[in-house]
Amino acid sequence: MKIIKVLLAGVSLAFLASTSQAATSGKTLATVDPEADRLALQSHFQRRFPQVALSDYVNGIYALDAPSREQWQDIEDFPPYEFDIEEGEILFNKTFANGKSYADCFTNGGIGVRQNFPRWDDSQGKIVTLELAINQCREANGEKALGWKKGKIAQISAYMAYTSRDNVFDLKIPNNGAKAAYLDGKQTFYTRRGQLNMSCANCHVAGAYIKIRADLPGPALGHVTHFPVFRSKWGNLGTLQRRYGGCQKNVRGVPQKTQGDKLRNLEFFQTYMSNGLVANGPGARK
Amino acid sequence: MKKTISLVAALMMVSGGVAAHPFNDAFNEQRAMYGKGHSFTWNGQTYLTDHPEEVAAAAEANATNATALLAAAKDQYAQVLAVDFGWTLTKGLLKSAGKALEAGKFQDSMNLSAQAQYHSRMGLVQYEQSQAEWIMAVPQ
Amino acid sequence: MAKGILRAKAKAKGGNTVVKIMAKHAMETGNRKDKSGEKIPAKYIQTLSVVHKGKMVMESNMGSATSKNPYMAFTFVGGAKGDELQMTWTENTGSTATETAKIK
Repeated sequence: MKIIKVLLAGVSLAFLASTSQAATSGKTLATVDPEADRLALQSHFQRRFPQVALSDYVNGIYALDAPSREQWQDIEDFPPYEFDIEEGEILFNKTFANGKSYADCFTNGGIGVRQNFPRWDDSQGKIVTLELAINQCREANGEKALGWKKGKIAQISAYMAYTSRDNVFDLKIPNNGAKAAYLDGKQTFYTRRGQLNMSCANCHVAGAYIKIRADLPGPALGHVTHFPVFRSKWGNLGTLQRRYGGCQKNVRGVPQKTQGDKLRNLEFFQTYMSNGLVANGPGARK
Repeated sequence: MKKTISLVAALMMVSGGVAAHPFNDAFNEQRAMYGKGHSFTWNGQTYLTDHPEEVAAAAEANATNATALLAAAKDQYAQVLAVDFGWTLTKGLLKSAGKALEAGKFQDSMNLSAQAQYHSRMGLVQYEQSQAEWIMAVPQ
Repeated sequence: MAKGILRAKAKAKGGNTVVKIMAKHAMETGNRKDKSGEKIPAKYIQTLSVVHKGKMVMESNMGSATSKNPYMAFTFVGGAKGDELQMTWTENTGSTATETAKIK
């Protein structure tokens, strides 16, 4: 009896090893090809929705669904994030106690730079999101860091996004460090998690524009260009990292750390997928 | 009883990756059709459609066993959190198991600990399987 | 000139004017509590009225049930490009102000 048990375990392990060799292309640092990934994602959506222009994907589900597009356009007449942009501008221009300001931390004084984030920072050896850059600027100038998910950081981010509208995303992957971060984000995006065992891709690639309860998930292409977002459900403005936490909780998984390595890499991957599309934040969504 | 438990545990732990594990399939099918505590044969051996956690929770309902099960469940939860694959409902189950233990409701506590441990074990299986499987969802 | 709390867009089309107004206002009901447990005092718009060429074209009674940053849209017969609208709001605290907007 004991021999049979051990054999069974051994056989299944060997079987496991051989089948996992089958799909390795694109999952290792040596084989991953970000440009090929990006183009593959674009053609996936173009095949499903031949009538939709690539540039329209920055509007998310409203690029695919006419009835909700109509409602959204009405809302955009008087966007709910308008006051946040005004507040954000005031906060952005306010000098720190030491006399410096955000303009000193960013190229072009922080105006029209949204499309450069997230970026690989070699000296730090990690991906830097816009909100991380904002807080690093604060701390470098003796100010306390802001909360990551909503409130002031979202308003500053909204103002910076607003000044960058229509600028094209063109994120770079300059070296293996950046590539590894990209790959890590790619893996997170396609990995099933939580008690409901779902991945981002389940809802936003295969499941885009397919009803999940009463909602239609938006497509992964152009997913992140409009952040920060005024979400009707929140009744206020929130960052992309805030939404990540909510989504992970939706599949009954304990969310990964806000602005931690995993979620910053995920944001990098998602934004790279939107290269070629324009920044159009802040946005309004259901 | 003990031999059955160890084989079930061993085979469940090994399940990971692309190949559908034959024992798991048989187990899940039998459990879906006949529920818990049902006896079935597979490859000449007899098994029960009970998860290892349920078998453990069937032990005598006393303070010692309940405390041990809660500790094991908490330990497994810490393990799954360490790899970022925790489930959101587990924390609440552990809390309820602790409260039941304090109130002297040992069987309730053991059942809740069993459920919590199952969550965490499944989360770890999920983590292991995802390493090999995630790439399959990427559009080519 | 200090910006008021009303943002208005008014457009004349085919003999009618469509007006959209958003008010920047917390609309505190007086029932919410702050971090120390103290009730945040009630502060909300009670009325908002819009006048065109001496004639009232819209009057609304808001009150504590209306939520933050109230938005309203309405159409009135008449109005032409360049005309001015007077929008007057009153608050439960007694504050009041009149702001203007031009029809485009």
